[in-house]
Amino acid sequence: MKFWALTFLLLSSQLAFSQAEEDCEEDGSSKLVAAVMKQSKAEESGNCPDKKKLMNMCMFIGSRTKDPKPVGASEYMYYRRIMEASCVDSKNDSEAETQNKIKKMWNKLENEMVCNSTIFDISNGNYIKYAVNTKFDEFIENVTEWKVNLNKVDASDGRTVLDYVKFHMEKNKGNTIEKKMKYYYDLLREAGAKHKSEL
Amino acid sequence: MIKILLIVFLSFSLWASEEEDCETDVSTPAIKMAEELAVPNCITKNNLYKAKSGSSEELCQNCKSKFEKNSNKSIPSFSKTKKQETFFNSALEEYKKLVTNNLISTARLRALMPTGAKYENSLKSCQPKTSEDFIKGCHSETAKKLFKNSTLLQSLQRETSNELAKILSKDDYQAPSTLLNRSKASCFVPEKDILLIASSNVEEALTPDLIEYFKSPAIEKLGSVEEIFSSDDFISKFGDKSELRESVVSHPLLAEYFKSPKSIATFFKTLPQNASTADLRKTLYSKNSGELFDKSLAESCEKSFRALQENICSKEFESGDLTIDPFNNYNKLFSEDLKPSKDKFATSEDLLQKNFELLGLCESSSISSRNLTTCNEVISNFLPQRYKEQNINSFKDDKFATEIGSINESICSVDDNKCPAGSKDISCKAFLKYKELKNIDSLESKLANSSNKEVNDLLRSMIGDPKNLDPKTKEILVLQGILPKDDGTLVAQAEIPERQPGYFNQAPASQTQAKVTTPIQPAAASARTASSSRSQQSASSDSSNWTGQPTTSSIPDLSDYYKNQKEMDDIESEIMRRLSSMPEQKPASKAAAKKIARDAYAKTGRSMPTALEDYYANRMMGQYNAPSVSGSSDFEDAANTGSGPRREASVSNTDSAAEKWKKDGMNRALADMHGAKQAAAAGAGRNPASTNDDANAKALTTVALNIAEDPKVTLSQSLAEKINKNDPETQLLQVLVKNKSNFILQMKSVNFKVIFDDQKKLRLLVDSGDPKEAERLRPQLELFFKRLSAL
Repeated sequence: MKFWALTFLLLSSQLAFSQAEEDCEEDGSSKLVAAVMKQSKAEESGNCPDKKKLMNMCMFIGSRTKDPKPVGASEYMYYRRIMEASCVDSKNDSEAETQNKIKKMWNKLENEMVCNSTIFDISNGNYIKYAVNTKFDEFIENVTEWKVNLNKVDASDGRTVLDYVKFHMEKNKGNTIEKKMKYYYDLLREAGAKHKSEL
Repeated sequence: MIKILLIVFLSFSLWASEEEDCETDVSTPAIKMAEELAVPNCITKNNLYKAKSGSSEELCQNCKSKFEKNSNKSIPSFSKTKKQETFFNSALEEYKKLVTNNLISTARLRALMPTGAKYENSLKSCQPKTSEDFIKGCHSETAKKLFKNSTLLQSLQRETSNELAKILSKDDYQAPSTLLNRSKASCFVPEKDILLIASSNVEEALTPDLIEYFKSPAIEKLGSVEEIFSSDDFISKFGDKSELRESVVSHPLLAEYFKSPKSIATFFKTLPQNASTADLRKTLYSKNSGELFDKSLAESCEKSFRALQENICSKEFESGDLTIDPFNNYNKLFSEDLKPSKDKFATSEDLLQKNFELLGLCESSSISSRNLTTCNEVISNFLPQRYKEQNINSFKDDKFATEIGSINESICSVDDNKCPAGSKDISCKAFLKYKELKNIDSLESKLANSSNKEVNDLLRSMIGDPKNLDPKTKEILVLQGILPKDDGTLVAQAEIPERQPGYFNQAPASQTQAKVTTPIQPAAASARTASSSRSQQSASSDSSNWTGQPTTSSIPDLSDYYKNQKEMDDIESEIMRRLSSMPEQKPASKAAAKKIARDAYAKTGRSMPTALEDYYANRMMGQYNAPSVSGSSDFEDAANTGSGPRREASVSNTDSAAEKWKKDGMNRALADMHGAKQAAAAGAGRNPASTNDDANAKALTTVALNIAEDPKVTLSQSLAEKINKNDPETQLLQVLVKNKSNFILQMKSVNFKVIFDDQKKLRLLVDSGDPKEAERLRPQLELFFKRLSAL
């Protein structure tokens, strides 16, 4: 009796899974269309992506500035500013829409998204490298989720973010920074980051 | 069979539900059931975020009960003792972070200009407390016991002593067990220079317009410094100034003012209208500013100490009424390996165990219970946010890497081709400044090649009991004249100018001499140049005075002119006596100086050789910091009055060095004082020890070179490995070799006497042991020392 009950449960769950997959595809595509349409409208108005919202981003990353009124799943100000710069409607946009908008903003403004500071070992290094330098886990986790371009080669050091992480991993062999860098390395690798030699 | 099927089913269902990445709710009753039955993973990013937003206790209880229910295991509560220990260690680590941060800030002032403040308050408050300090007035017996046995407190004292010793040491000596963990950079740039460059860059970034803006009363109303920088008004006037905000943390004095909008306005209001960088520096390095810094640091250390004591000595702590709050203190309680995952369910053994550990710390507590998060927040109140979030080990690595390592790397990564004069690029600015350090007329050079007396005094007195020092570190400091030898005497050191407030307004005579600039390109090569040039300037003084000019060739061999040491001491004392009766303790002219020298030498009944006459005249006129073989510091003080500020402390010839050490305490700066005895001997073509007989040889430093016996590794490989590793033994040998100091080397069964002959060449003599073994070791050791001296 128990055996049959379990077999039934197993079959029904399989059915549910395949149904879920179908739902996902259907829902995803329709939402994507809506997102693209919304985005086009914002772009037409000329304010999207909004470069101004990226002002002081390096400060927000470096000093871990908190957002007094957090939006979404982050307590930090950089998150709000990235959303605003990408014209994301955090209440209504789906995850796919959000990702798409951020990716678009990132591609367009990537060359301007750089930091300088005496506590940063490269000049005009990109935001991701700066977050690595300041060991800001949340930021790095977010960029891997947003699926933005992780393979920008900065002119100042000729390295991708993965090269940069590898360099620091080797430089800090045996201490806590090595472990942290290893975590970033795996995270970025999994998200599709490459060494310059692999591009 | 049923169990297996159930597991298959659950795994399959969970996989299906985790795969789902769209927002549509596809949860069927079966999946819901599977989720209900699965063991939850509580260590997720989402949970850690939820905890920060204030629902930590509820989260703890919900997760714990669900975990217990679904895993069918009961999570035992931590014992009272274990809870107390966890709370104690975490709070003490927080205190250690704060004290480290503040001590490093004080130490950094050494790279900067003096303010005239004595920093006595911060010295008193930030010096690591002993267990007795904590126990005093503590009513909790458990707390007393924990303080008494705390290895963390003991290590803090040892690390502080070693850190200060490392800072005061003249070579780039890497003492083991220091407050900060130092990783190797791609090229060597002295830390003192790095701090100077970073601070100088920040000062220059504050333009008159910005200074005026920071005076505005409107900014005082803002809630945080970040609000100032991101306000529309600020952005419309200055644009994105993240670089300034981020860089200011590396400036010890300005970082204090940039802690709140109010403190920014208060400081900048004291500056004159349209203040230039020079005006800014004048105010920044004023006594008032130094005292404010001192007060602020002292306050933060006191507050931190009181918070720790109040919490640990409380009746709640004694009774175990403690809230550990594991979600909020996750980074500090668990190792870096335990990262929050995205997994909704604890499907692996490893994750189950980790959840088990975390949830064991969840316990409902009373309203009056002591909360670890609140306690830590007060203890580390003055730390930057990112350091607040870290545990002590990450903090020790990260603080160095960020605030010193990054600039070092930055300088290493560029060269003259990448950075033509006037480059605005931040790496280039640092690199060009570093080059400027080599220009003796520059402010940077004067700062780099002089010593900040007030801070040196402070640091030296903070070393405290030399017993705390690592033995090798102690040996190096003794050799460099920073600590007294066991017999109480000090290795005499030549002078290096010590900065006094207003020092840079003077134009020391010796600074008008020929300009020496060291080409430093490319960067990798510059590192080597810098290293060797630095060694010349500050490490051993065997070839340069403080202006960076080579002096060795001009210093006569004093032994040629005197019958013995006593005769020379008498003559130098006589010169000293004559000088002290003069206005400003300085002859009016070089001719007058020569006369003083001749008159003093007349006591010998011989006429004074011209070379010796010139030598003393130059010393009196401050054109040499020529060292004295007798180590007569008084004479050097007097002689230096012409070239730079005098040392405040006068060292009496009748006192033993140990007595002087104790007596002068805060009032002596020994750091950066050059190795006089060695330098004099080097200049004179001999080392005091090199002429010594066997009796003296017994007093030589003995260094044991430990080579592990391994038949697979050749002796040459083992020695090469020692150089690569640069362990404390090798570092000590390097200091000895660079200072041309004789010593005894113990290796395996052989004792070698390592001496420097008249041509300063290293000679390896067998002192005792198996002659055959000695002959086998000798050629390898000669190569080893050759490599060591070339480093």
